[in-house]
Order: sequence, then structure tokens, then C-alpha cells
Amino acid sequence: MHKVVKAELFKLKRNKAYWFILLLSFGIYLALGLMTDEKISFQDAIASSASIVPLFSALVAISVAQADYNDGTMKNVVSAGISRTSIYIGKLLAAYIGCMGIFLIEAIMSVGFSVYGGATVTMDAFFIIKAVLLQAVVVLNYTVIFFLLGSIIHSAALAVSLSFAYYLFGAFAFGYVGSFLHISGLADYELGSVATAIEQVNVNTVTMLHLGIVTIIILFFAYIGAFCFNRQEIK
Amino acid sequence: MEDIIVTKDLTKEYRGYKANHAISMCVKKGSIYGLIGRNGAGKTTFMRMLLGLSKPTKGEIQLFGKKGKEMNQERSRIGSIIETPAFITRLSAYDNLMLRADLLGLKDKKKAIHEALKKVGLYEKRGQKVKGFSLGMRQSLGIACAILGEPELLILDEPINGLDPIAIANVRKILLDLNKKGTTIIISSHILGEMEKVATCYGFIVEGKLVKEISEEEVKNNKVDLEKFFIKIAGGELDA
Repeated sequence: MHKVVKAELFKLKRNKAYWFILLLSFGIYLALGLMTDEKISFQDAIASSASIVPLFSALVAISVAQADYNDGTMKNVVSAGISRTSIYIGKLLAAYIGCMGIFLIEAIMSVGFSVYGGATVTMDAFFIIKAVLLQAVVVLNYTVIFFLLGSIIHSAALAVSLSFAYYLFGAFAFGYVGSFLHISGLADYELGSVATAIEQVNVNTVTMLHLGIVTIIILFFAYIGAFCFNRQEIK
Repeated sequence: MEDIIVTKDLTKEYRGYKANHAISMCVKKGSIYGLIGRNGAGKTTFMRMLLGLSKPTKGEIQLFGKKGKEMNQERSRIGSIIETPAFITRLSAYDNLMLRADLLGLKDKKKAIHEALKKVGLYEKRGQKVKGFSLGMRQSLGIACAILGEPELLILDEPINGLDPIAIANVRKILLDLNKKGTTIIISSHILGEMEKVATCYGFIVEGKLVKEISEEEVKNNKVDLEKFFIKIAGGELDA
């Protein structure tokens, strides 16, 4: 699997489109930071970092998933003696690393603007570690699903559209669905509510349940993706 | 002599159409097996199953004496060209081979890449992007990719397509040199004259079935005209 990760990161490094996406996300956060007068605390800066990351993550994950199909080079990868499951998970990990690059830019920009705005930087290591881990899990959740969509839907436009639809549903729709179905507390499980989980002082049952549900989603979609890839005829 | 490739009743069916039908064969270590058949006979389908690109409908494959999941790991000992070689055209020839070397886990990657490129005459073009390569150059790069790290088994599907006579002679030399070092080769080609210069045995595929196998000795001893033999087996008409 590590050979696949290495090969995919080699390709990503030489992919101008990826560097353009990184530059674009930097530019957008810079513009947003300069345009807003609202001062946010250091904690809020870290907690809200995963807001626009999923949109760019969709482009990166789908691009990594579809690159070998578009180039016709998937046969080179599959015939190299690496198991198909390892190939799928290796590519997924490489896509995740690429997406985390976007997250890091957003995190650095958010924190930078909050500190520039006069916010007090917390030295609470537990809070910082918890925040980074929860954000990393959220990014992994999106990456797994976007990567799966990119792998099974060979039209990039359709895969990106479905990815955006999932992002909107996962990030915001739970609360509306909960209201409609009269289920209270459903909004707590929106991916957008990860900010609330991070701000909680103690890691409590809600946080662990949130993390558990997200982890199950990640494992489920990773399994589905590997299962489908194992059965594919490679052209 | 060890059997490098063994297939038993290997069948591939697509929605009722049998592309390969119960192919049972074995390729001995150190041999050069020439796979001959008409267009659409099933040669590529067969090779794709050997490489794991396509799952057999029925039957069994053994590579290097292994089958099932253990066999998949053995595929790292195989170099191949299937149909048209594919590359990431925005990358250079060198970078494409580096990707292949990474996937194979080769130890001295730079040395292996330089050697492969020199053998096919593309060393001077190693920094050039593949999108600027002609068909013949891409085919040569495909051969470089296949021979990278001197694999123990080569599976080559029409490797000399698009090559000029000098390049063809060069490929022949590469294959014979590798074979002398112990590489087993299975090669399909329509250019029977070239096959006669390298192959030590032949298998004829007609409509998905392996109908006949003959050795190089039989061809020489019986003074078999390979072209006429193939046309007779394939059921084609030979103009007087």
C-alpha cells in the first residue's frame, strides 16, 4: 500500500491543478479574512476551520480517483502485483493527504487572522489536539465519500455535483430533517456541528457518539469502494 | 523445468459470448511462447487475465507455482505491455518510469530507469514529456516500462506495433538478451516472421480456444511454413 501512496503523492506533487487549488484556497481565505471586520476567538478559528475545505476536497479526491482511468494507466497499477484493496486504500490515503493540505491552509489562515485580530492564543494542548483530530476526521469523512463517488462515477462533473450535494446535506440538512421529523438533537450529528464538539471542555458522550458515527461512515464507504474496485474490469 | 504459467480450463465470458474457452496451457521457465491468433481471437483477453486486469469466469491460473491471493504478489515479477502502452502524458518519460519503479518497489530505481531507457534508445529523450512522443516512441517507452528491473516474466501483447525496422531489431535483441538471462516471455504478434526469430514454441488461438501448440523443433524439423500453418488452422482462405 505504501508504494501506491508514494506513487500517488509523486503524481500529486507534479499536478499543476492541485497547486492551483491550494493557491485558490489561500486566496479565498485571504480575501475572506481581509473583508470581514468580525473578530473571532482562537477557539472559534480552529473549530470552524472545516467550513469550505470539503468543496475543494471534492475536486482533489475525485481528481485522484479518476486520474488513472482518464490516463488509461490503471492497468499499469493493477498489474504491478499489489492487491486491489491496497491500491484503493493507498489512493484514498494519498487523496486524503492532498485534502489535508487544503485544510491546513484554511486552519493556518483562520488562526492567523484571529491572532492578527487580537485573539488570545490558548496553550491548551488538549484542546488543540482534540480540535485537529476532530477536523481531520471530518476531512477524512468527506474524502472517503468523494473518492468513492469519483471511483464509481466516471463522469467528473456528475461526481463533483453529487459530492457537493452530499456536503450540503451532511453539513446543514440534519437540523431541517430533524425539525421536519420532530426528532430533537439530530442537528448535533451534522458535520457542521463539529465546531460544537471541539469547543466542549471535556470529551463527553455526545462527542464520542459523533466521532463513532463518523468513523462508521468512513469505514463503510471505504469498504464499499474497495469492494467495487475489486470487481472492476480494468481497461 | 519449472512451469512459470499454468492455466486450467481458463474461460472468460461476457454476457453469453466466450472470449476465451477452456484454455489449458503451460509455459516453461526460460521459453519464449508465441501466441498467434486472428484479430479478436482472444489473445489480449487471455493476457489480461494473466495480469489480473480481468477476472476469469471459470478456470484457474498459476503463476510461478502460486495461485489465489499468493499469486497476486508474484505479479510484481512480471513486466507487460497490453494493447497500447498508457502513460501520464503531462509527465516526462523518466517520471513515468519512476512511477512504475515506485510501484514495483525497485531498489536502485535511477540505475534501472537509465538502463531501460538506454536499451530502447530513449535515454536522450528522458526529460521530454510523453505528449510530444510519436507512436513508435511511446511503444518503445512501453517496452522500457515492461523490462524495467529485468522481470522474470514478460507478457507482451503486440509489442512491435508502430516500430520501424531498426527498432524492431532492437526489441528482438532486448528480448533474446533477457531470455538468455532467464526471463520467460509470452508474446503475441501478427508479424509471424518476427515471431519465428524469437519464439521457442507457439500456441494458436482460434475463436477463444487454444487449438494447437507446436515447438520450434517441430517447425524446423517438419519445415512448417508458419503463415500457411496459421491460415490453415484459423480457417482462412489462402490465395493461390
